[in-house]
Amino acid sequence: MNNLSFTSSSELRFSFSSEERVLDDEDLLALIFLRVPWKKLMTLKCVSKQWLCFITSSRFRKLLPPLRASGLYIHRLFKLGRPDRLYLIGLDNPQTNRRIFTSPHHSFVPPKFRILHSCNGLLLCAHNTNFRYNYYRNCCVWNPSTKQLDNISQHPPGTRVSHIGLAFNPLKSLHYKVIAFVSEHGFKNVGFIYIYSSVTSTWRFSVQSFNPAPHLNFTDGVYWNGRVHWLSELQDVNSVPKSDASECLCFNVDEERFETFPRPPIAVKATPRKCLYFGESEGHLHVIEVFPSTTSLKVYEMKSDYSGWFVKYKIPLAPISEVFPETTQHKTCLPGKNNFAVTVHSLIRRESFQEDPLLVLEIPGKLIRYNIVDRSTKVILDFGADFDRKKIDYWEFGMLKVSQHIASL
Amino acid sequence: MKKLKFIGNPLLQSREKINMSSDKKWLTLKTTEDNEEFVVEESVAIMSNVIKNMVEDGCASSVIPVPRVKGNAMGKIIEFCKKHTEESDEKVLKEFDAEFLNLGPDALYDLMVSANFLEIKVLLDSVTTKVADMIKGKSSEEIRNILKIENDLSAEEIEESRRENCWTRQE
Repeated sequence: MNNLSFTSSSELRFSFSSEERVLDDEDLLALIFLRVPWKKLMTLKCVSKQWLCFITSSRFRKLLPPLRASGLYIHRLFKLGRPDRLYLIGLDNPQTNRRIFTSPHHSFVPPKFRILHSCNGLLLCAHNTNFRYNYYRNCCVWNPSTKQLDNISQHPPGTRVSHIGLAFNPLKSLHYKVIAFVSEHGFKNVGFIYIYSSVTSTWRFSVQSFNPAPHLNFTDGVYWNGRVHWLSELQDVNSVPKSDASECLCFNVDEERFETFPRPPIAVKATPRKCLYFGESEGHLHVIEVFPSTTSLKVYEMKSDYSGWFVKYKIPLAPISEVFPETTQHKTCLPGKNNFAVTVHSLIRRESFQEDPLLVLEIPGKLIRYNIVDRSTKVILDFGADFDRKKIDYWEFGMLKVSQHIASL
Repeated sequence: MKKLKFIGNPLLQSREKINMSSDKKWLTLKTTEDNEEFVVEESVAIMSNVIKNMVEDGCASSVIPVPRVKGNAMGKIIEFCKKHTEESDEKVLKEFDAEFLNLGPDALYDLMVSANFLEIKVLLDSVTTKVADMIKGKSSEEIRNILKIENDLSAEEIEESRRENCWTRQE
């Protein structure tokens, strides 16, 4: 009887032999710990060495449920780049579950801040800075769930920070890193990666970028699969050799080296484009492009083995315009043509929670949420409640910055 | 209908008289650690996945030896399984479970290990939830007291774990 292995009721495998007594205890501990609220797990770490060891092990972390995007941070930028108010609105009950941060004296919101980057529940913010230039002197990392604010007192050396973003995966480690790509003055395409670690609280030089082709520019990076990905737009298809055209750049954070990934089927820079959404949700990487003539949105997803992109969803826009006719009356809609004034801000998957995927869209005067499966819509934020028709028709896109709010359980 | 006395399990004896009718199947479970025998209806015994598999595989002939489970734990487990096979009312079962699990940490631990070994999901879920509830709102000191765990963490280790987890620190 001693060497038979039994499957436990929670699908953890372990065998009951006297040598592996310690393992059984841990499986039982796991069953108990998974029933304790995640925040309380930190108390449990201080109970004993065994408990500390187990809770911090990757074995236990893998059992934790994935993170769920429960709301959105919405910033409305004014012309000079000074942000208006910051909204935090729940995705499920936008009417009732909302909060507005306006006062600079909020205890946990730094004054005059702006969200630069968000990653799995952490927000990288800049405050008291010159918003006009990419000159982020005073950054901080903010965890809204625990109201923890970490000031990054230093800043990476160099003058031109092309990209700055977070690398954080709470399911792997509770530490975060900030990755900055700094270009040298005068040398647009040679740059250095600096990494700030929450362990050491300092910046350090990581690698120098190899010479990328001249057209590469770093837009917002997306942290997925342990790497920061940047979409680079080609000036035009013919200006680069075929090999360069098919790959985009990413930075492997743990191994600190540059890698490439297949370019998604996006258009060249010169194409008049309404928006290019590049983002991550629950372990999936997505790209969505919207053109003036787009009548249905194609959502591309990257295969997890990096072998290529595939179309995950194709979403017709006509049903949305039936609910919101202002999408066809906007100034950018050419008469007689089937144009929709819509931009994409976020795609939230939610399959791990057996819920429908949602698209967060900006339409003239409103931010709405669209359920991809049942095609229902819900208004998240109505900016134009007091606007007259003309103002809505002249609604300026591109003034909103939306980040996912991922609450710790 | 015969009324039989069962040796070895005073719990079952004192509870009720068991009817031996021909269409009910009975199994004898023997805890090998302390040699106690329990005669149980098959429908109750198969709440344990382990026993269920044995019955289905045809290995459950006369007496099933059950290692690692002590007699008193076995008795309690059988009591639990019996109640859950007989009763279908959720509310009644909930009340029963609350009363049933009103035990000290040692007894709960034995129950948990045994339920895990015998693969009785319902019991395991109930016990682990009970233990989780017990420790949920307590400080680490209180947890150590309740579960009688020795504090083997040095002050530095505690400080370091607190620092490492500033992102999920309790408010």
